[in-house]
Amino acid sequence: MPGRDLFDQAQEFAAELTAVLQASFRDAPPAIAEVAGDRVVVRPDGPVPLFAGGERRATLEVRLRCELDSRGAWLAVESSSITLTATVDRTPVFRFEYLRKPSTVPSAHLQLHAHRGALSQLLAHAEHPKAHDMSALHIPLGGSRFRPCLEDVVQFLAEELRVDVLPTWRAAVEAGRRSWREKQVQATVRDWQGVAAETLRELGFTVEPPPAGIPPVPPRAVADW
Amino acid sequence: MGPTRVRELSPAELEARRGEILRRLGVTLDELTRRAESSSLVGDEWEAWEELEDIAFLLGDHAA
Repeated sequence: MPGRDLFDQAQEFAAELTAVLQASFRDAPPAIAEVAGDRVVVRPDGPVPLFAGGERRATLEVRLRCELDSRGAWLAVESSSITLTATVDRTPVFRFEYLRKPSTVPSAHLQLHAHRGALSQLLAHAEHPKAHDMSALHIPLGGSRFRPCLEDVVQFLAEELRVDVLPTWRAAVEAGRRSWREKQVQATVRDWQGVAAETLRELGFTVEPPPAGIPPVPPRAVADW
Repeated sequence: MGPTRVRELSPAELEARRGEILRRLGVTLDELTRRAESSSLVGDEWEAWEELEDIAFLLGDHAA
């Protein structure tokens, strides 16, 4: 639906964020979309407190920084971050980040705020400028198309970190993940049309290329990491 | 909890918010940027830095 109003799209992003957070965590505030020109920041309107065993232990922060695409039709995510901050020192434990136009780091990456002597030693031998700072490493997560979504992180918090969740969390996570993956598959098929067509043929579909032929895979689809 | 909201902000409002955050922390933007770049933010500075990055993005700055 190109040409939809920027505010409607911002509202939709905020509503999707609100739906998964409020279905998963008690006291999660609704999301707010702040708009300036053709740019939008979507985030919870306040910290999302996380509890374990009924006690406040951490905070989840989520941010989507979006901009209208070059045609001025669709709101595209320029960067996003999902950060878990420990209450004990108000410092991040991990950050899942995405940059649409990264310079040297992977577009989708994880930064861990942790310490491991053996890793520091390895980095020091390699003359890494931040050998003792594990959070300086950007651990790749599959690039733009195959990166984890917010729902994956929520499930990680629920099942691996065992934070307190509401009974509605799983349904919201699976609904959100389905929507996310549908969009990612659509984008992936647009980039890899020949592969998509061949796969469908193998499954018994009749697929004919358009008159202009099958476009080559764009270089960014291969270079993106 | 309240409903999901969309709020439009002017450049002046964003600049004022940036000033308020820096006053609250008692640092200049340059000082905080240096600390962020050297991974030496502590405590509440992390959240403040993210807010400043939001403001920079909305203003179209290249960096906070």
